[in-house]
Amino acid sequence: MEYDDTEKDLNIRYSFMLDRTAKNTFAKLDYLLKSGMHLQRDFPKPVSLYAFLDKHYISLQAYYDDFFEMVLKKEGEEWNTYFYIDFHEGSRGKIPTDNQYRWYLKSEYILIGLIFFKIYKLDGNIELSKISDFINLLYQEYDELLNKMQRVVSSIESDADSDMNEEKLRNLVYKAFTEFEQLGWIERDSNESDYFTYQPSFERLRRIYYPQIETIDEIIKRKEHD
Amino acid sequence: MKEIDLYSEAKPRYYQLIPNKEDGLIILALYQKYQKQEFTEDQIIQIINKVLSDLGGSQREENNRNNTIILRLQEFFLWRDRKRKVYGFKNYGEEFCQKVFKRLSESYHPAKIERLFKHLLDTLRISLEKNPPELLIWMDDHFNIRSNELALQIEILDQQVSESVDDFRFQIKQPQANILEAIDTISAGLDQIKQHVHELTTGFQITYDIDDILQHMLKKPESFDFLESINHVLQYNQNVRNHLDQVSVRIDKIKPRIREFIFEFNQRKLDRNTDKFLHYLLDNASYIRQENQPKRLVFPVEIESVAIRVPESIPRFYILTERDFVRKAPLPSPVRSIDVEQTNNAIAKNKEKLEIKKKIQFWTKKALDQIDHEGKLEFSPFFFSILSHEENNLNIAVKIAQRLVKHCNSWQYKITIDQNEYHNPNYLNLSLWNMTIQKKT
Repeated sequence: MEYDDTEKDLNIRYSFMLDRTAKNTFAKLDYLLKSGMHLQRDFPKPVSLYAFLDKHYISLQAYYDDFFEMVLKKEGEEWNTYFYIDFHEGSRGKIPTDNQYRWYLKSEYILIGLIFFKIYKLDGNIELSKISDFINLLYQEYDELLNKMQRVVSSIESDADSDMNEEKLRNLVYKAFTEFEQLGWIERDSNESDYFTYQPSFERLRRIYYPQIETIDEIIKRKEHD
Repeated sequence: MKEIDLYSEAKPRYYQLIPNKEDGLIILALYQKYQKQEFTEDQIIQIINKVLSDLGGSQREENNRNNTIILRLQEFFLWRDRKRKVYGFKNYGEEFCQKVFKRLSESYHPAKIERLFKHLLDTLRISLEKNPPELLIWMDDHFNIRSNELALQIEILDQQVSESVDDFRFQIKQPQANILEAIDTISAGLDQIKQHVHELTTGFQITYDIDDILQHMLKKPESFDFLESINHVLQYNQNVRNHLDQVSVRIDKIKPRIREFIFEFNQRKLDRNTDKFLHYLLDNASYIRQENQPKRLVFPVEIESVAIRVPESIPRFYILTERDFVRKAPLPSPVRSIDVEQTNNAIAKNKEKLEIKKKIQFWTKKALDQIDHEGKLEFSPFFFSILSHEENNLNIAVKIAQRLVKHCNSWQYKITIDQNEYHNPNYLNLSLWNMTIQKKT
């Protein structure tokens, strides 16, 4: 966007700074966004963070773009709206960084996330609210996914297959959910960490792979020809 | 009721008494079609085939299979008129079907609930007016009978919620599902249940009145005998109210989750592809090991990893507390005082010790000189001469003896001791062995 450096124009471009609530809100919001957190109406609290983002989205976006070359994004609709800084595509950035030092979501966690997304969202298990219930459901109703995931898990850390697999998978799921919470994809009950609440931004995991998901038939075909 | 061991009586006949899924459904299908009418074996077989094909069973060995089922059902559920070759329901079978029918068709009756509770309250009041109060009779005649029925009403609501959710899950899995419609249906259904919960809650208000009466009784000493019964009723009331609350909370939790589906109703293809994508990842994930790093799970090349953070972008804060900046106050220096008397005492004691030390050195030297000059020393008389010179201080004499023995315990000297005691007339309470120290030449 073209703009002049006149005070008036700057006041419009970075109008969030003039908001009375900015003093209390911005520092925390900035920290969370830069830590990779996704923010939506219900999580993280306080709700003033979301309200501030929602109100000043345009000027905040300009701010992050102008000073950090980071992309502040808004996805989802109405109740499901969520905000985040896209480190995935926004690869340029003014923060000096080497590509190999980016923090990537572990592939194991991606798999667990997608399995969870399928069971919760695609299959409509909307009453799921405990991690242990998710694991139980996986064991009871999703033989194929479970077997494939166990094959993956069994080769983590050691090559030997053992009775420990079940425990390993369980641990891995809990670790993955801890990461998901830091990303704001789920909220965990602070008293009983087994309980969680699904957040709209969980969709982000799938959104990252939209290009591949939309062309999955071709990808599989190509693989078969290899 | 005749006393029998229900467990062991039922065990050998379990499947005749309590049908397995196939048998049970066949019985229910038969009842639905014929109820109290009679029916033929062919008609039973028709039903069996219909039920089993619906359940997805195999069609082989039909005769044998059908025969087994029919024989099994005759045990308790069906009777057979041999002459006329017709079948009908036995009493047990009819009751079984009616019970299922009643349970499934039963719906909540808030007005009835209110009436039941009102009745309980009234009867409770009447029985307490009597003397002695008839609380136990009230529990037997009224409370115990009604309590199951009341609990059932809540169970029905809870089950209706489960059914709505199951139905929703089923609907959205259909390939041609109209998600919006499914959401509307479940939302309306849940609203309805919620309304019922609300009505029941009103009906259950009377339980508080009952609680009041009973709690009042608890305070009276003459109700002591009823303590257990009163607690039982109070506990029951508490439980039904909690249970009802839980149904309501459950609905409140489901509703916002359903809303999340609204904007994705045209994503069916995306959802199916997502499923394929997930399996593709699972099938093609593999491990690599790079220069001394731990093994890492990776996806095929066309699937990039997900960058979620750039560590440098996260401001790092080192938290210094106020305390870290505060200059530390200097420690107060300890005030020392001099106790003159104690110091003088100490000096005097030390002087005395020095004197003794000097004397010991003097006498030891004298003894050694004598040994050197004369070749030998009769130590025992020497010992007593020390005593007499040193104001009978035994301590000095003994220390000198130690010194000498220690000093002369070498190849240059020879110490001889004979065990005759040496006495000195001035010291009658002391005696020494005769000890002689000689210098070897």
